[in-house]
Order: sequence, then structure tokens, then C-alpha cells
Amino acid sequence: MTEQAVPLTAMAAGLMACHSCRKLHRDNGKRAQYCQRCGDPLHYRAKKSLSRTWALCICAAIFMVLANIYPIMTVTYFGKDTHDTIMSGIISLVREGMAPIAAIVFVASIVVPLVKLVVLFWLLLSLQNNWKMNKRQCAQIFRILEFIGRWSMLDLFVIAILVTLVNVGNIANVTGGPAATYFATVVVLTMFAAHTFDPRLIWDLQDSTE
Amino acid sequence: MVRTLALSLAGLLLFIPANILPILTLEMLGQSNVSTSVQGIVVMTYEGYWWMGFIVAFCSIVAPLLKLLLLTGISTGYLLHWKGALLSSWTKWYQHLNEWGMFDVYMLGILVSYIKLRNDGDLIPGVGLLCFIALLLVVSGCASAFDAQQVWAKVDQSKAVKA
Repeated sequence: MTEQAVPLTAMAAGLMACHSCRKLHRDNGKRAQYCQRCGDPLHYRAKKSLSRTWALCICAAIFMVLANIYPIMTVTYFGKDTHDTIMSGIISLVREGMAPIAAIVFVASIVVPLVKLVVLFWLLLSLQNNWKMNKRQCAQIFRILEFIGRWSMLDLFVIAILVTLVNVGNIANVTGGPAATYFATVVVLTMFAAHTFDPRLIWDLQDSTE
Repeated sequence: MVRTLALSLAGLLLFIPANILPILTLEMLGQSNVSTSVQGIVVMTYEGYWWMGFIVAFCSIVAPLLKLLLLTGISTGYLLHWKGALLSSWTKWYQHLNEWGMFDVYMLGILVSYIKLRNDGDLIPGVGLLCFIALLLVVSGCASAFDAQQVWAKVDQSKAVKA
């Protein structure tokens, strides 16, 4: 099989798939076209996908910095207040000997959002500057990104549970911190960013020789 | 589709107990504190972190509930041959909400909290936890039993019959 031929994209063939119900339509030349089956608007590529994703990614990056500077949780133990940021919370888990839990929280709260933002920025840059990329790898990476996004919420759920459970007045008390709001915003923004990015744009990249 | 209907109804039945009955009870220094998912959100909102409370509420309670209701509606509509327009709008909403139902992440959160607090006091799992696990299994089964393409084929069929 000759691998050198460029695969035909749907856009080149004049075909559009509805993003909701996946029905294929032939381009009939009108400016606004709608799916015959479910009524959603049809586009070759989502409108303003790149600019919306850029905006959401930049906001998410700003909030990500804020979420890691401010404390996310305040633990009061025998009258002494300890303000924990995400990172210091993970380190204290390691010190207490719960390394596997610390690893889970580290992956969910720091690695996942960071990787998501870095990969999205990298995809956006490669699309804007028309770099040569292995398109299939890009598409696969993007799908993985969509999948792992929701797991960043783990830390917020843990805090919500801890705040209710550990409530013995001044002896032992867990309260939330400002970073909780910022981190919640980061998760929401990155999920929206993965949603506004139209992965079909990857097919418009130049052919890679990799 | 029948399986989807059965599982989604089971999920709706399990939903209220899973969220109201206590999941974990911590007994520390003579005082015992009970945690339910609703209470966690109420406490965070009370402390002033209403945005985080809203997002946690949406992702762990509202979105899974809406998904279950939508699946019940879609599978009922499919089996009773309701109008295609209704089925298609519900299916579209379900696909939008799909990534926002974070029940399994919540489950992992409970596990992490359990392991974290294990040494600090007496941690007693409650009835709500059993309901929670059952609900998780039901929701996962329901989502995997649901085939959106079946619904879209039905919508196509009903449009062809009309035309």
C-alpha cells in the first residue's frame, strides 16, 4: 500500500459531518447550513475556534498560577493554623507516609491541568504557525486530553469532604482557602478550552515527513 | 435501549439516598461528624466559597441527575415512538453534559479522603456509601448501554415516515 499519498480530507471532498449526530452532508454552497437530522448548524471547521481556545487557555494559565500561590486548604490542629497550597498539601502527604495518595493528588491537581494547558498551547501554536506535525499523533493526543480533563476535579472533591468531616472546633478543623475558587475556575476553563478547539483543524496542518 | 431505561430508572431511585444518607462518619476526640455530598457543598458555600460549591454541586449532583433524567426520557421516548424532535434535542443535551458528570471522580475523592483520615480517628463508612457505589455502577452501566446512534437512526426513520 502506498503510504505517500495524502489522505483526502472531508473538507476537500465537500463533505461536512454534523458535530452532534455525525450525519454527513454535502456542501450545497449556502452560507448557513443546518443538519438535516438534528438541526444543528454545520461548519467545515468551528467558527473562531482558535481565538476562543487561545482566550480560554490564557485565562486558565493565569488562574493556574493564582491557584498554586494561594492556600487551598487551612488545617487548624490544636489551635495552630496551617495554610496548605496544593503543592505543600502533597508534600505533607508524603511526609505522613501516604506516598501513593500524594502521587494521585499530584497527578490529578498539578500534572493534568499543566499537561492539558501545555499541549493545548502547543497545538494552537503549531496551527497558527503551520508547523509540520504528525497529524495522527496530534489527534490522538487531543483525544487523551479530552478524556483526562475531568480528573483534575479530584482535589476539590477531597476538600469538600474533608471540610465536612474534620470539624471539631479549634482542636481539629479544615476550612477551604481562596485557591479553591481559582482551581475550580481552572478546571472549568480547561474543559471549555478542549471543547472549543475543533480537532478537525489538525487536518489542515501541513503534511509531516515523520 | 430497554437496558438503558431499566438502569436509568434504577439510578434515579438510588440517587436521593446516595446523596442524603451519610457516606462517611468521622469520630474524633468524642465528636462525630457526618459527611454527605450535599453537606460538603453547603459547608463550602457557608464559608464563602460559593463558586467552588456551585461547581462541585454541578459536577457531582446536578449533571449526573440531569444525565439520568435525560437517559430515562430518551429511552422511554425511543421505546414508545415519541416525536423525533424531542429525542434529538434530549440526545444533544446528553452529549453536552456527558463530560460534566464526574461521579467516578467523586468516588476516587472519597477513597482519597478515607485513606487520608484513616489514622486520625475512627472512620466509619455509612449506608450512603453503599448507595453511592451502587449508583456509580448503575450510571456506568447505563452510559455504556446507551447507543446514541440507535437514537439517531430512529430519528431518521421517523423523519422518513413523515416525509
